Amino acid sequence: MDHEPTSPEQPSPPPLGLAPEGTEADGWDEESVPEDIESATHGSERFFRSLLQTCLQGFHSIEPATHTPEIQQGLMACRLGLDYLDALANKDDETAKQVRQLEQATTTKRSALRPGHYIPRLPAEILFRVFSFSCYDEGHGNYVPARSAQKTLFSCSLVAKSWNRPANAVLWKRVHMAAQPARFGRFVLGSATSKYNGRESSALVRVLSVACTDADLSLLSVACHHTTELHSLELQRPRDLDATSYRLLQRLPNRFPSLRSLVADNIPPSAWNDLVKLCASCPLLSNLHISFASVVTDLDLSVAPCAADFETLFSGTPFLQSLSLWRVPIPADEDAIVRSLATHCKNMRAIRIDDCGNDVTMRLFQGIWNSCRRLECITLRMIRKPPMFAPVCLEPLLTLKSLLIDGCWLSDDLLCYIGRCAPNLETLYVENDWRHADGSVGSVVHITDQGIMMIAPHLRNLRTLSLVGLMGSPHLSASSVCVLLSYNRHISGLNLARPHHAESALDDETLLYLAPYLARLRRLELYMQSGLSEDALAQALADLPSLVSLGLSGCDQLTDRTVGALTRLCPLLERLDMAGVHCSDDGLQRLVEAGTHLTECVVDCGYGENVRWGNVIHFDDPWSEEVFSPYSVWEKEVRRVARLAGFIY
Amino acid sequence: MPVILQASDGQQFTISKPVAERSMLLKNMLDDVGENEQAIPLPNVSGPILAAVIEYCEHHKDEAMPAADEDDKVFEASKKKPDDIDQWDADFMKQGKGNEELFEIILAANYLDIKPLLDLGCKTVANMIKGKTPEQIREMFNIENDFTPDEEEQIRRENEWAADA
Repeated sequence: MDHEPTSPEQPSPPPLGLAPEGTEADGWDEESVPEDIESATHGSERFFRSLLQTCLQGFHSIEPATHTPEIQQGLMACRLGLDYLDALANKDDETAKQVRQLEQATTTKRSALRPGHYIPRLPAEILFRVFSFSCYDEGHGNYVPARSAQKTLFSCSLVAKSWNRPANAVLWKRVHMAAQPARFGRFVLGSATSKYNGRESSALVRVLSVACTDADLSLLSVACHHTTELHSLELQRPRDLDATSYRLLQRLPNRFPSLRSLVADNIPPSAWNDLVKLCASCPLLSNLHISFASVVTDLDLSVAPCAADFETLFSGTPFLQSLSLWRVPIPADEDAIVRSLATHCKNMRAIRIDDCGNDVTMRLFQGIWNSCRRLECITLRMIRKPPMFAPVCLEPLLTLKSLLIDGCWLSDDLLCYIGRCAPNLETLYVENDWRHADGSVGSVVHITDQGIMMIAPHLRNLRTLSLVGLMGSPHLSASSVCVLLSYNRHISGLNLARPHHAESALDDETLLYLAPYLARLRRLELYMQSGLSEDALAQALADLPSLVSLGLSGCDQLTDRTVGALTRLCPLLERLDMAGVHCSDDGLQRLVEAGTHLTECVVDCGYGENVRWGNVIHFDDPWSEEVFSPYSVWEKEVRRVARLAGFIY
Repeated sequence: MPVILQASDGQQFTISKPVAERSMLLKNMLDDVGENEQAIPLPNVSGPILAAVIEYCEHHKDEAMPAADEDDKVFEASKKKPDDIDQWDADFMKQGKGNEELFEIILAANYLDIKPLLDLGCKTVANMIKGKTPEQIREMFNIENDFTPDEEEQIRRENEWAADA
């Protein structure tokens, strides 16, 4: 018998896909599907069949866009009736029974809905928005969905067909299994099932994070057949260090043709070669982060990346845009590496070299600067040696927006070059961490007022300035910083933090000298500047009416007197970090009461227990302002690269 | 120059231009058409819902418009805590509004392109469904389960890895 065409959304019979949402069309069933049809003669069967077909044709002649719930119900009734007649004609009692059950199921369900209570359907894109909120709003800036959120999404996927797709799209988008390897097996099973059922939810996976054990990597080699649209893969070190194994990495190459981002965290150096092979088999790779484990075994010590490895790596990843190497020992032949990078990866936008061995010199920085002509962000840490062959020479790099140099050799001359060649710099972060690789106190940063004075007229676009561990003798005085601030009137964030072991510190006189230049500041960080007097701090803050975020953590000289007055001095204050500041509940109460805009306050554990906090969230886990944290700046940069390149990170 | 809006049921509302411009749809329309004394018909929004939307826009008329590129941030990983909804907004969503009105407001915000109101509505729904079972969600929003038992079982098996908290 010729089956009526079903609507496009419907995969196959049984035709229950259409969702009747209205409740008014009662009684259609009695008329269209007579109770005693079994006893009907052959003639009456034909009669009913032609009746139903006529109705169906009538319904089909109506424009699908204007289908009301009643029309949909009519359509479904006709189809059920025809199915039933077919079953009778074929003497197929089983099918007939099924059809009757389906009919019953729809009518019972319909009556379960509250009559007269019509709630409109939300379109898929709005449901997607709702689910994204329920998934990520507990995230505290990280993108790992909470378990409870996943459970909610699981529920949502089962609500109705219209909810299933958007819920699956959010649920399967980011799959983090590194912290819970036991679930990874069930996930892989679910992926395979969904592929078998033709739903292919596994093709919705964009970000996958797994732990590196034999079991997990072996599951990954199965999963990657289903997760065909994977954009980002994260290989994490498992919590159970004994289970750690990177042996099966070598099985993975050629499995991730769509991969755009690879993050391999804390890998043992012995896995380096397999990792390079893996990268070389991902031709679309745009973002790469590799960090070596800090504790290594003897076996690992025998493996050191060589220049040829980097040539293999870069030649296989021509679309690389952001590269981050952390604790990966870079061989002494820096020029060869820079050459490979510049030859093969012409689209580099962001680069991060963090603690990559004692052989690296600032010549690497110079090479990268002069060879990668589209860089927007450079982050360097712990490059303690000056460039081998002075003098330094930098070419203009107009694309550069962010430069972070922490604990690296730096002279006034080099700083001057940087200022002259990167006039569009928006974020400048210079830190002297006052510590050698062996932990002893010492400094390789040789910045003085002269260097700052020289860059001041060139930089006109600075938004965020960090001079960490550099305020006070032997480095900077107020005069040069004032000049920099007056040239850069858009600076809204200033970070004058001080590392624990720094020998220089901010004093009252310097702060008061600076204060009048800080009137536009919205974010100020004074971490560990415990040498300032309370009076000077209060006096300076009175000049900063626009401040919304203030970091005073470690300033243990402060007492109730100043703490209680902070929100009166800076009435717009929203966020205050006071870890390590000891004050009484009374002082905190005054702070909270005067702070109409205050929303977040960091206080040490045990403090403020009797304070009526109102809407202010207080916690003892300090996080640094994003704009001042090199890590956050880097993450943001990678996310920007991902957005521009169109992949999910 | 006031702007006149006409809801689907013919009800008319006269509002000031800054209030109307919270809606990107109206803003673009006003930019294109210029000053005009004719009522703007909004066939997708009923009178009571339009009144609620206008109440929201009145309250927020002086705030800066959200930048377009911030969308991603709000969307996926806002650093703010979960129930980060302004008190007035929370009250606005609660006041005598059933789930029906809530959905209607979301649809209206979507149609009129008022991003903050759309997000407020979506967040409100997101908070409502938190930790609920499928049955509870269907009950709450009067949604019919249109899965066959087989389909439901299939999805349960596929997504099972996300089920336990």
